[in-house]
Amino acid sequence: MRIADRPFAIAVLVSMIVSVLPTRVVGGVLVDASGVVSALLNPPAHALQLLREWLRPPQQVRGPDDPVMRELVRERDTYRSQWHAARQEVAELERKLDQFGAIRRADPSGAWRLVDAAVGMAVPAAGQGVVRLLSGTALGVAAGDVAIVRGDLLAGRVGPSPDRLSSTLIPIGHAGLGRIDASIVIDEAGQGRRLPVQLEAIGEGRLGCDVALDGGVKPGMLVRLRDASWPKGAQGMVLGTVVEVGRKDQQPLRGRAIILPAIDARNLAEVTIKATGQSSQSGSAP
Amino acid sequence: MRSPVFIAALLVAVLLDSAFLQVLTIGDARPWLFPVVLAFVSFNASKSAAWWSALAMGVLYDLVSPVAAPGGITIVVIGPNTVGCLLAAAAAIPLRGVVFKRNPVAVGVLAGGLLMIHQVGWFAGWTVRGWLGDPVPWTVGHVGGAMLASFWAACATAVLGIPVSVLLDRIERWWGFPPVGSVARRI
Repeated sequence: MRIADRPFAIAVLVSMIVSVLPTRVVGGVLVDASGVVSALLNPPAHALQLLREWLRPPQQVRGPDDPVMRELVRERDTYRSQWHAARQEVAELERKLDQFGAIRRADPSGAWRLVDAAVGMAVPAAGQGVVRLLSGTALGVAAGDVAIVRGDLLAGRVGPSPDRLSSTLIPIGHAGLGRIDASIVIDEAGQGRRLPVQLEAIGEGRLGCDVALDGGVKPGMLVRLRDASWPKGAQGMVLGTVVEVGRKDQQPLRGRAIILPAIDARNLAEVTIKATGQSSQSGSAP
Repeated sequence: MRSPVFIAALLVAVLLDSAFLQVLTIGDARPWLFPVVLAFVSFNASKSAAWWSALAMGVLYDLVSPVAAPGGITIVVIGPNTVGCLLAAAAAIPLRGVVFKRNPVAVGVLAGGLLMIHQVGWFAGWTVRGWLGDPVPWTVGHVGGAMLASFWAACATAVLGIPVSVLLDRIERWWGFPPVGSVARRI
């Protein structure tokens, strides 16, 4: 094939160059040109479309304005919403079952009952950082009970004097919990070598403890509860993770580890409480 | 070839292709008019006029074929139909010496074949645009289905091409084609 017509060859070359130019370069001009051409062609095209629809009506004669169609769409949307809600509920129930199973396996003594507690709004002012739970003594929640998330992550302890239908949760990292005896697991995957430490709240929801600089403590290590003053069923559960190890300012030969709690209770929607009190309601916990 | 007649025929083809010929669709077999016009012009006009006609036809069909892109915008790409029409013309022009152009069946069948060739260029053009990041007008993983639809469209175009080529033959003198065997026709 030989193209002897030079203007035509140039026109083809320009077309090919335009065809590979990025849309951001020529897209605007081409859309405008297309708009002009469409503006010229649209009136007769519309007439032809009307003729086409008259000759061959669309199969779907019922449009969105049809009352029957509107009702069908409404019903479809309703059932679709219900279906999604049911799926979410099933997923939530399965999650709870998994969590309850994990807690029972961790402490099979059975001297407790599991209570799901929805998290209410945070307690203002003096109790800053404390979380209100929508479960109380009516379900057997007692002061000092532990709140757990996802099987073995400690969220905190129930505060003093729970009400009948509500209680407070003092989260891990809150100064109200006092000092907590714990172990930093040096070798989680292997022998499980542990370094006993005593944690104290250092503000911003974090915990700190003194460690030996050459003790092998590194960021990322888990910190587990080992405190006789806490319920027996909570021993060994995860308090948090070491996020920083540094030299102590006043005692340069000692180290200081910063621990981030595993759970930020203020951002939770629900916790599970290992309730040790007597429930005033018959039947199982919700 | 008289340009105004070609422009009028091209506009009629664009209008019917975009707004009316769906009425003749059976399944995936959707007829197109532009391959018939392209075949008619390629077989009768001078080579130069046939090439220019194919280029003009491709550019016009590209301009009236916007594609929806992510973000609710439409993009217009010059290239896929242009390449397709030029490829089809490249296939048709050498055949004009061997095709009995007054046979409507031959013109119709060749129009179907030209559509298939056009589709090859069209897919190639859009594939290149896809490499450049533009959305392609077929579903990923369904290219085979799109090509099969093109085959059925070619069959429908061949059937449509028979009566249309008879009609175009009737009005051939309006087009001002150079007479067969003339020097003008060979250029």
